[in-house]
Amino acid sequence: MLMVVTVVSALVHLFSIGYMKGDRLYSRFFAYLALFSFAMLGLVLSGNLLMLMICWEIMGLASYLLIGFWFHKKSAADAAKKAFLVTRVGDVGMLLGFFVLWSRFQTLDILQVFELAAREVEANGGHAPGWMIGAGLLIFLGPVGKSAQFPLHIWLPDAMEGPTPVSALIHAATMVAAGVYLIARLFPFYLFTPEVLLVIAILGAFTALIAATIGCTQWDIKKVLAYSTVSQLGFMMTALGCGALAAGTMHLMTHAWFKACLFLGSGSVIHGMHHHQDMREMGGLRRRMPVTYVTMLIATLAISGVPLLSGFYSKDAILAATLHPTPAYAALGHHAQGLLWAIPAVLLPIAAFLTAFYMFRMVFLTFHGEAKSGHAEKAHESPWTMTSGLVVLAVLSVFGASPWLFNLDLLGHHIWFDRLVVPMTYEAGRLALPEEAPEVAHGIAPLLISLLVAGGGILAAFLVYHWKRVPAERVAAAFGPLHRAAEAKYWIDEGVDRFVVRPLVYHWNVWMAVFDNVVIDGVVNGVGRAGRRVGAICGFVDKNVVDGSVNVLGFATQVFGAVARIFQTGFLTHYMTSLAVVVVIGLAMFGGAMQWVLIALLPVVFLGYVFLARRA
Amino acid sequence: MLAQIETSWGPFTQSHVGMMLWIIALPLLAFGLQIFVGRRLPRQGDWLPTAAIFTALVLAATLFHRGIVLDPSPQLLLHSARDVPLGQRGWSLDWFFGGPAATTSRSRCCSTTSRP
Repeated sequence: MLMVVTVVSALVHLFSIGYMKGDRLYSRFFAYLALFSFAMLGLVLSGNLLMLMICWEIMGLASYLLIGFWFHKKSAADAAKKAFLVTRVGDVGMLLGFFVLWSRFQTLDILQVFELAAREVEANGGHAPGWMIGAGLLIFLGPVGKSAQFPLHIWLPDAMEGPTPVSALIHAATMVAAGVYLIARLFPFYLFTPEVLLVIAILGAFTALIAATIGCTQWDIKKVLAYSTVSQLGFMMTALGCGALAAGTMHLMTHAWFKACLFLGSGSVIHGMHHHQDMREMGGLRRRMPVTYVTMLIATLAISGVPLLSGFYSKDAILAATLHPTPAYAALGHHAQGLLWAIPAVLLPIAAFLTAFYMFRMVFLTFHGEAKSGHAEKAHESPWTMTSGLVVLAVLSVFGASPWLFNLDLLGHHIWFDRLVVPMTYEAGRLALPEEAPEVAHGIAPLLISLLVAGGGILAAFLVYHWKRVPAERVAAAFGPLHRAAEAKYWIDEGVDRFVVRPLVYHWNVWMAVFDNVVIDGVVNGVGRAGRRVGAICGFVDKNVVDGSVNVLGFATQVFGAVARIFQTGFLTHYMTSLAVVVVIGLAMFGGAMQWVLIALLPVVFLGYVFLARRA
Repeated sequence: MLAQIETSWGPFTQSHVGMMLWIIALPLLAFGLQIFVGRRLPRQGDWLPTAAIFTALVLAATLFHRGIVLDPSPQLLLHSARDVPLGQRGWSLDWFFGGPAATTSRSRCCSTTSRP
């Protein structure tokens, strides 16, 4: 995974030098790319769920910044918001799942979780307790959002509003792969919960088929690739759900090569077409863009599942896994759970057929036939900084997972990738490597199915879009309501808008109005009322305490003055009498030494009295 | 203790673990520099994140070669081959942060990530 991320990321950086040249925020774009790469690499290398969650969220932020990079376009800004919010829905579930694990195990270390889960299952008689199944389902919600599984896939096609290198980076190898990677990373845990694996398998197969049918009806070259990505992610999820860890992760890797090549190739086409993306305006580009054509054709062959190319081996392994869905955890004692396991086996071959069909439809509409617009006539090949990455990815699309490169086993009975990713079983009280890798299931039946659906899809595309033996309109009419539904993307966006977004916004507005009226206004009114109360208290204190004190002081002064005036007669005799009274009182009160002092003062007082009397 | 640490990394040496740190650190450093001084750098700094990620690619290829191609023994490829002391619970910080916790927390190569 580390190799996949770094290779694709490096090539996308190189491609962006040419593609984003002259952009107003050129420098910032590379900063965001670096942030995204950091988050994805951190996610791959983190060994515990906490770090994984942190990197997961940083990646969500970086993807928001990159998808909305041309934020002056309303559609891009809306797409970024949509991607951010829709993936958050899944993230909430994932976080709750991690909380459950933490509450039971008191650890978020991934490998400790495996061991403790194994003990829990052992203590529960070989079956996972309900809370483990619940945790597994909750954690799966994160990948449902991030890896664009139904019904949270709606953000991914809109996210094509971002620059094309972003589409290649986010939607080919890294962000959307993170969800699949997480399930693969926690695969030993999921081995204990086959019920969750069944849900994963069915949802993945359903997503693969739904997205493939929509991909057949799109005209925007990037939208076709977007729905193709959703469909291929469904393949990967189905593989993991069927217990085929190696097949799922191998398809993750091979898909990274050919889908990155296709996205960068579409970027090259869009660059050559002066940023026109409608395939109905293209045609005849193979002569004007030969490198882009050849590389995209190779990637298309790979994704269609043509033998000897990387996609063949991984897709074949997945189809094989759907036919034998339980070997990986047979050692646990679980058995195939009835007809439900047949659903992926039926849906995936149809999706594989449609994959070959819509991919070759894209190639024929874009590169073959006559130019259908002035832009197509004036299209030109992209600079080497853009095409060199395409060539590398095309080479990887051929050799990326081909077993014959390593051991010349053309039928892929011993896929070298199986040696890298070996699912374990739970034996003798601990997780252990099974003696025989259980996933090598490349029998004749899956091989024939694989070849049949790939060949059939390509042939159908030839008949309709290249040889034009069967008009496309007639095919569309033959499928009638189904075609209209697929063209309208099954009204999922409208459904989500009507039954989720609008009620949510309505109730949000209602509750916000209630909150505004009750809480915000309540607080404001409360503060106002409190102010009035405080003012009243202050007024009372001012009036009664402060003013009262002043008045009391004034009154006391008046009383004191009135009393004092009684003694201020103007007659010296009265004063002397008063003085004598005071002296007598003093003598009576103090006595002792003071008594003698006062007696000594009496003559002075007497003489003074006489003196004053004579003067008066 | 040291001997235990050395053997617990399987085919990886300490320098390989250092490489893993650089694989994460390089894009982060490139982001920090690019966001703050990118516009003032030649070519608006496009070479900086590009060089960082290409260096990370070389380091990842080195690890892949060492951990998968040179020594593909099954126990190294097993997802949970690490010897985890189960009595030890709590928040486990990875080697990611370095430090003593790091040296005891990883032992074998993870097949999905090709890391110890």
